[in-house]
Amino acid sequence: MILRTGNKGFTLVEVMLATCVLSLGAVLIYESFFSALESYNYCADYLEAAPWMGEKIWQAQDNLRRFGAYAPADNRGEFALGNKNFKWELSYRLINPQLYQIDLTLFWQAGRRRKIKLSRSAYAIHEE
Amino acid sequence: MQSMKNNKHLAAFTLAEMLMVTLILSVVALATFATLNNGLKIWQRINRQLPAEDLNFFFDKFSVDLRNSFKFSNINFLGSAEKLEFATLVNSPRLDNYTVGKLIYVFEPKSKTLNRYLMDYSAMYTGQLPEAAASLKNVNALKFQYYVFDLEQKEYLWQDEYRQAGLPLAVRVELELDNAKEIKESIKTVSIPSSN
Repeated sequence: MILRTGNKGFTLVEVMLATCVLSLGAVLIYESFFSALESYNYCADYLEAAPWMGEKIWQAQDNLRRFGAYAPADNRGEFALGNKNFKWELSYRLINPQLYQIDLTLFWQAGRRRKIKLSRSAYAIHEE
Repeated sequence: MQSMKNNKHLAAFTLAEMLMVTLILSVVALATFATLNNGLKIWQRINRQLPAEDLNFFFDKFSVDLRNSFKFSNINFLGSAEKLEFATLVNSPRLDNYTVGKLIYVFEPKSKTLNRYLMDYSAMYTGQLPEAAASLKNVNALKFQYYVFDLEQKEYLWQDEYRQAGLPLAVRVELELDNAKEIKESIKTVSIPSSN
């Protein structure tokens, strides 16, 4: 009996407290994992979206260069890449007699909470 | 009597207590295992490299090279559906600096790669093709197109070949990338500022 007094077990409260601390730690680690996953998915979408925007801007520049004010008005739309839906808006603005500014904005939903809005601008010169 | 007293002190757990403890422990263990397992899966996923990464790097390089190209008397712009060569600013490994040189982009269907050969002036003089640098792998199919203004028809059009003097207005590359899971088509158009 004397020998056993030294190694008493943990009380229930102690064990519960330890479990609580452990689960809190796990939740925090998880949170960081989820934010990393979100960034990864954003990065994957961005790598798809950026080249698409580059092409769209080129197309708009070419149209403005050739047709100027008569460029086809093609200013909003939707498309899907993989299983994700993207919405885009395009606008031209005349800032000089021949110089146009093009603004292209792309919207998409990342995860459940975040809405992404990505903008690109470029100039185009109308050649007569 | 003595032994009974001792027994009371050394009382064991009851079956109900044991069951409860086993239950609690197994629930906690299961939760911990599930957490770690899922965490590991997420970790593996975010460490995987995206196939679009290589492609984007390559497209960036391609557009920088083309946008830097210029008319140069000894190096003509020559373009076909699967090969493209032009004068541009190259980073010469020999001089360790930027100089005028030639770049060749050529698609090799056998090895399914799009190779980029960089030749500075001395490499062009010896005529030896250097080792391909910064090539794109797993390319199924590829096509270069050249945007020109046709003076006779007075309109802009896309050609499959470029053999005339000067530079085209733009170059477009359409390629099909095969990355184990899916086949993806990509297009990149690059304007050449010094062409007009």
